[in-house]
Amino acid sequence: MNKMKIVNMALVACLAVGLTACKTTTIERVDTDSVQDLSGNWNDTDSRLVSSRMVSDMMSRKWLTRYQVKNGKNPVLIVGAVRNLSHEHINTRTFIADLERELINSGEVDFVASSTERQEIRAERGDQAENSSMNTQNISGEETGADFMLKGQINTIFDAAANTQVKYYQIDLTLISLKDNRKVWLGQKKIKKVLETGRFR
Amino acid sequence: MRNFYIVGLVVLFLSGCASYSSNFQRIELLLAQQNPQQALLELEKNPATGTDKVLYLMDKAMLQRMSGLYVESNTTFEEVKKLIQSLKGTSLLEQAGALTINDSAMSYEGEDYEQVAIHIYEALNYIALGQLDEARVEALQVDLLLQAKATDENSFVEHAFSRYLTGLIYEAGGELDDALIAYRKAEQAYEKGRKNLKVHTPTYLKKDLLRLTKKLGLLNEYKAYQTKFALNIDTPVDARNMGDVVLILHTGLAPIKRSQSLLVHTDDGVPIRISMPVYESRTTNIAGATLMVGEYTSQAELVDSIDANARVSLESHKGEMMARLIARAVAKAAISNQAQKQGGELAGFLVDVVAMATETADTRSWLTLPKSILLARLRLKEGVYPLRIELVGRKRESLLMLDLGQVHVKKGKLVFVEKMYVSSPVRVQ
Repeated sequence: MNKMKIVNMALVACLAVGLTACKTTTIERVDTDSVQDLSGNWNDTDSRLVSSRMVSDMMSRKWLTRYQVKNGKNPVLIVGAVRNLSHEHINTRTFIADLERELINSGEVDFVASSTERQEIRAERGDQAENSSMNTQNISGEETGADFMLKGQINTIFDAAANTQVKYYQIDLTLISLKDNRKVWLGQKKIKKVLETGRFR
Repeated sequence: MRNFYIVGLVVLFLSGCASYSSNFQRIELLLAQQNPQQALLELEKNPATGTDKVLYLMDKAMLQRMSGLYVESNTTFEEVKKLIQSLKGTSLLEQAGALTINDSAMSYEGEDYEQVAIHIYEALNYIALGQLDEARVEALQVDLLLQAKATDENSFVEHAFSRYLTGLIYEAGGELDDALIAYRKAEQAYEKGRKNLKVHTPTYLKKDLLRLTKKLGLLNEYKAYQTKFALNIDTPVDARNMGDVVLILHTGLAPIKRSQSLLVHTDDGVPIRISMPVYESRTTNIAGATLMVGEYTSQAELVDSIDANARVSLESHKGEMMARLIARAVAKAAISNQAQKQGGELAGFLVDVVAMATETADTRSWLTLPKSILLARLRLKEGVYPLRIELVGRKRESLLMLDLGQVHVKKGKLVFVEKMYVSSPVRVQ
């Protein structure tokens, strides 16, 4: 009886220990440029790589020099909507921020605030007109209009069989002239990932 | 299973004991009192962490959306999805637990219909937030899920309503060809599931198919649908100035699992007791609804019966479950025999008691899902209209009028209106 009881109790104890996983939190600081693929979903690395590659492609094309030679100044850009048409909830705002940063830092283009940002700036200018002293005031009606708008979309094709999953991302960006709706540049970047998941956990 | 054959099944008794579901009465009561905020607080008092975590999160997300916390609800749904993904592999430890203790030792991953519902409700959350592109992401994800399920041999293959909703999302985004593909799949799924689920192809879907095939110039298909449905659509004269209102109404609550004890005989003639889960429907007096936009009205139709889906889902893996239950009962009997041989009658009896006490059916299921989903669609001229829903009973008697404020119909656009209504439970004679 005792032997059996001990065996039973040991079994239950083993299960109890096994079922409650012991948790300890470890934190490690890593370089923000390091690649860390966890779930295979769109992550910061994808956002960063795509934006820097696409912007450098955009800057190396003819439309830029053509504009600069013709007008004697840098083109003024604005980033419009980047639509997420993919299978994942991608935070397009960080992607847009990455794009903007790359574009401004290139020094080849000028940049104006997006429509939502403009509302806030205009409200502030209205406030300045009432409350600021004349020599520090910024008057309205002096905004720079954009020459080109950058629009884009993220598309995906996913395929899965058994424990293997293939994720294909295609990011298309278009630069459209606001003057005449001409498309002056088309950029495309593709990412392909293969995921293998384990049968056991 | 091949060593055993079942000599006779004797239903011993219907015991109402349940682990997760038994604590749910208060939440159900609060929902019937139209107080989801309080129900959410009640649920959050006992957060589940172990094998029931998926279940807890699904209920939490549902109560959050009922309380109007759509962003929070989506965060919770995303957490559930990640958790389900991480539970994909087989855990040997949990399997061992399931073979020696009971099925609740296994992490709850959600039934197929529940996993589909996660996407449906997350999509509806995004629609409520006005983020149609994000709702479209859910539409694509539900397609991936259904594709993956279709390759599993033992699970259900299609889910008509999620196809229909997907189509509506595409149509709202102006992607008519994608919408048509989804509507076609929905129609096929309704047709296929009609016998088991008792949900007929909604007339609205038939009209959508006719309208889109006509609009996209697929005249052969249009004619084929016309003959098949024996239905004609009349295009309004000023269709250009019109927009659509789509009502999605969730009523009642999904069925609840109860434990049922059965006496099974092995081929040695040894009687063993096993506990199987069975579904018990939760009653509601709501049988239909009418959408009222201004002076225009439209009858809502049943588009999804979660009650029926749950039953079909349970039935589909009954065999596998039975095999596991019998194997466990035999293992427990063997331990008891061993104990009796080595430690005498008392030891055998004690082990039997423990075995009996731990032998309960897995009665876990997503309890805050609705019982049924109704849909109504109206085409109206552009403008602002007052919007009401009339809930009707079984004899078409008016039960309640819900006032949902105003709706802004825009030309060429599709506006979604959504409501979940849980009535207090009624007893059916």
